[in-house]
Amino acid sequence: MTIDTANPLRAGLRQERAAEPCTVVIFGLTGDLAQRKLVPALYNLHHDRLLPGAFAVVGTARGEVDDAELRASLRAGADKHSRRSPSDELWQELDRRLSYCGTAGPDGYAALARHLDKIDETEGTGGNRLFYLATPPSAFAPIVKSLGEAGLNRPGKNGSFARLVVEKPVGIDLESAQKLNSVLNSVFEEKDVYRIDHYLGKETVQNLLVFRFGNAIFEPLWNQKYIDHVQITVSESIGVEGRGAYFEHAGITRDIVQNHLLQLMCLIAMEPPASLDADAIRDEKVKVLQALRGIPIDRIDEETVRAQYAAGVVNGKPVPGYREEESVSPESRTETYMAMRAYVDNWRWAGVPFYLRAGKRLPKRVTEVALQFSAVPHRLFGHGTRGLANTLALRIQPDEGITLKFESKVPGPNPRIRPVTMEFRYGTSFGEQPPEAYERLLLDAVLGDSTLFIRRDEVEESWAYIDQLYRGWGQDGGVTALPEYTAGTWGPAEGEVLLARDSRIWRRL
Amino acid sequence: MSVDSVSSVSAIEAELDDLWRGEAHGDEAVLRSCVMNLIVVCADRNRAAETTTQIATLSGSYPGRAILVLLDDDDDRDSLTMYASAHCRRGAGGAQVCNEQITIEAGPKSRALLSPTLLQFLVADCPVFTWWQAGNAAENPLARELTGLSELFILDSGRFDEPGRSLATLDRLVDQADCGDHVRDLAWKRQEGWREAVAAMFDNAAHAALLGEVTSILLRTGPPAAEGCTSVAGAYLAGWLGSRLGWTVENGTLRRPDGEAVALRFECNENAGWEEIDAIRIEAGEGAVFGARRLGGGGDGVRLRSRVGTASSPPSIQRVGFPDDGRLLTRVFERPGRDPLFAGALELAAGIAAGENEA
Repeated sequence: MTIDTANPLRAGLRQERAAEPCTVVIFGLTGDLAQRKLVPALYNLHHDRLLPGAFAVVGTARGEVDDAELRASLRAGADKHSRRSPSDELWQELDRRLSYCGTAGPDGYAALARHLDKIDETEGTGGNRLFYLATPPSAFAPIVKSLGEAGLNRPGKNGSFARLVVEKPVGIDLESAQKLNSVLNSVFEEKDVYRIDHYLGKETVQNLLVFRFGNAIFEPLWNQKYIDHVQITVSESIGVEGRGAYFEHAGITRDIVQNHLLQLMCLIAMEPPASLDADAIRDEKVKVLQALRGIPIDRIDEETVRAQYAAGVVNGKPVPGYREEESVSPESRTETYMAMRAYVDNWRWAGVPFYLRAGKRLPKRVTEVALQFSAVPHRLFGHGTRGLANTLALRIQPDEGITLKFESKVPGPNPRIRPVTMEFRYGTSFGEQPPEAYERLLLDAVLGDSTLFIRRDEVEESWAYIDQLYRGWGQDGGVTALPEYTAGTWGPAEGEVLLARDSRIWRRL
Repeated sequence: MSVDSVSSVSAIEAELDDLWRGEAHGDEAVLRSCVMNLIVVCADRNRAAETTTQIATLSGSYPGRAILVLLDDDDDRDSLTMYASAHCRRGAGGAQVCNEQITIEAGPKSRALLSPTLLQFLVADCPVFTWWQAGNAAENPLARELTGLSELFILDSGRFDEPGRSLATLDRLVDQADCGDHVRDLAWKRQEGWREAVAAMFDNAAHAALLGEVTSILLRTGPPAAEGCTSVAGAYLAGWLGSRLGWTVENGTLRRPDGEAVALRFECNENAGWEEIDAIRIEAGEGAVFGARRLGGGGDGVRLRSRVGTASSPPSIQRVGFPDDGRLLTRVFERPGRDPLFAGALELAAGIAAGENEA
C-alpha cells in the first residue's frame, strides 16, 4: 500500500510512489553487513530523497551496546563504505532517527514492541515495520518466532504492514530450507517475506531482462536453434577472508552456485513473463529450475568438477592454500571451485549445455554470462573462419557491459577473416552512478515490491537441484581428496577437460 | 559568403581521424563511443570557454560529438572558422574514452552557412541535443531551426534578461506545435529537489487533504538577474504547485478551482544565490502551516516543518541541492522523455511572472 494517490504533488516526480512511513528494525546492527552495506544504503537513500518523511531505524542486538560507541561506529562504517561521503547535516538527520533496543532477556521482544509503538507516536511511522535479519542464519528462526510471540508480525491498525527481510543463505540444503521457510511462513505471510540475493539488486542483472525482452533482435535467436552453448562464470580473486568456519560448511556450491549462479541462469533461460509483476517473473524463474535435468549419481564425475585452491599468487602477492586458511581443517574436502554442465530440458533449450563455474582465488573478480552462437551452416570462407564466430557476452561485474563478437574481413586483397568485438560499456554510456544493490533492495522492501527477492519455491527448487549434486559427491564416503588448482589460475585441469570433452573451451576472461 | 563548406567539413573530419590515430598508444584500445550529437550555441567567448570545460567533463559519461557554435557579432568574416579537438579520459575498466569537439565560429555574414554545415557534421543515427546559451531562443531564427533538428532543445530561462518576458516567450516557444515536446529548461530542472521537498510535506494523507484549501504562499529566493523579487525559480515552483492543484492565474492572481484566491508573495534574500530558492511557506485551511527552509552554512539541505492546528510534525531534513549546469544536463540526458509537469507549470509561471512585473 502506498500513498501516492493521496498526494497530487507526487505525480510526475522522480519518485512517484512515496514510500509509506516506516520503521526499519535491523537485527544485527553491530554486525559487518549492517555496517558495510545496510547503513551506507540507508544514508544514500536518504541522500537521494527516497526514504519516507516519517522514518526511523531501530537497531537490535542481544548484548549491551554503548549508544555513543554504536553511533560512532555506524558513522565510521558509512564514511568508509558509502559510495558517497556522508555530509554532516544529512548524517545528523539519519542519526537522529536511529535508536537502539536490546532484545536480551524474557521481556526483550515486548520491550522492542513498546519501543516501536513509542516511535510511531513521536515520528509518525504509522505502525509500519520492516524487520531486517542481518544476523547469522542460526538466529533467523529464533528471532522470527520471538517476533511472532510478541505480536510484531501482525499488521497494526490502519492496515499498516509488517515485513521480514532475510539474508542468504536460506538453509544449507532442501530440508533445512523447508524447515526455515516453514518457520518464516508460520509467522509471516509469504507475501511479506523478502529473501535477499543481493545479485538481483545489481543494475546489470536487472538489465538482463531489459536486454532480452526490451529488444527485438536477440530474442528470436535465444534458443537451441541458434545457441551452441552458454557459459556462466562467477569468479572471485579473494579467498575465504576470515570466514573459514562458515565456508567449511558451505563450500562454493552452497555459497555461490545455489543462489547467485542459478539466479543468473534463470534470468538467461526463462521465458518472457506476461508482465513485470513480481510473481509473473518469479513463476518463470521457477519453471527453469524445475526444468533443470537431474544428474544421475553414476555420472556426477563426468558432469561436475570440484577442487580446492592450493598456495599461489594472486594480485602479485603470495597467498596460502585453502587448507592452510584460518578455521579450515587441514583435511578439508570443501570445494572452493565448482564447474558443471547443466541442461534445461524444455522446448527452448533442449540439448544446449550450460557450463557453470564458480571459484575462489581465481585470477580476477569477474561475473559474466556468455552465449556462444552456433556455427554458420556452410563455411563459405574456408579455414579462415573458426566456425563458432559469434559470442554475446554479458558482463555483470566489473566493467559492466555487453560485447558482441563477429567475424570481419581484414582489409586487403586476400579474403582473410578476423574476429572483432562490438562493445557497449555501462560506464561510458550512462552518466548516472548506479545505486548499490542494497539500496535498491532496501527501497523495494520498504515500497513492498518483491520482484527482486526470492520466493519460497525458488529457494526450495534450487536446493533440490543442489542436493542431488551433494548426494552424488557423497558416494565415495568422503575419502577421496579433491583436485587442487594453484591460487591465481583459472581452476583445475579437470575444469578444462569438462569442456574439452565437448570440443569446447572456457572463455578467456 | 564564399566559403567552400564541403571541403572545410572534409578537412575537419580528416583532422578528427588524425586525432583518433594520435590517441591510440600501442595495444591499448581507444573507445570511440557515441551516444549523442551535442550542439552548443554560445554568444560570447568566455561562456564558450566554460562550456568547453563542461563538455570535457560530460564526455566521460556521455561520449559523442560536440559541436560548439560561437556566434560572434564582431566577426566580420564571410566564412566560418572551424577547428577540431578531442577530450579523452579513462573510462570503465581503465579504457581510454574520447569525445570529439568541433568548434565553429560564425559572424553575422556567415550565419547562413551554419545550418547546412551543422547537418554535415552530425554523426548518423545518434540523437541531436542542442544546448542553447545565446539569449532569448524564442526570438532567434537559428534557435527555431535547431528546435526542429533536435531531439532535445535545452535552454536556461534563468539566464534570460527578465523573468516575466523570458517565461512568456518560452511559453510561446513550447506552445509551438513543432517543438513544444522537446524543449527543456535548466531553470525548471534546477528546482527538482525543491519540488520533491515540497511534495514530501504532503505525503501524510491528512496533510494532502489540505492542499485543496491553500490560502497563501510565501516564496523567498535569491536575487534574480533583473530588478524585483520574482525569480524564474520562484515562479516555476509556484507554477508547478498551482498546476498540480488545478489553479489558474489571471492578472497575476492565483485562483483555486473553487474560485478562492491564493495570496502569493515573493521575498528577496540578498544572501541567497542566483536562482536559489531559500524558503517556502504554505498556509492552508484553518491554521495549517507547511514550511521548508534552506539550512545555513552552505549545505544543500532544507528543514521541513508542518503544523496543523496545534499538532506539529517532527521536523525533518531533506537534501535539495543546487546542481551545476553539467549535472543538470546529465539529468536531462538521463531522462530525455517528455516531462509531463513542465508545460502546465510553465504556463502558470509565465502568468505569475508577468503579473508580478506589471505590479
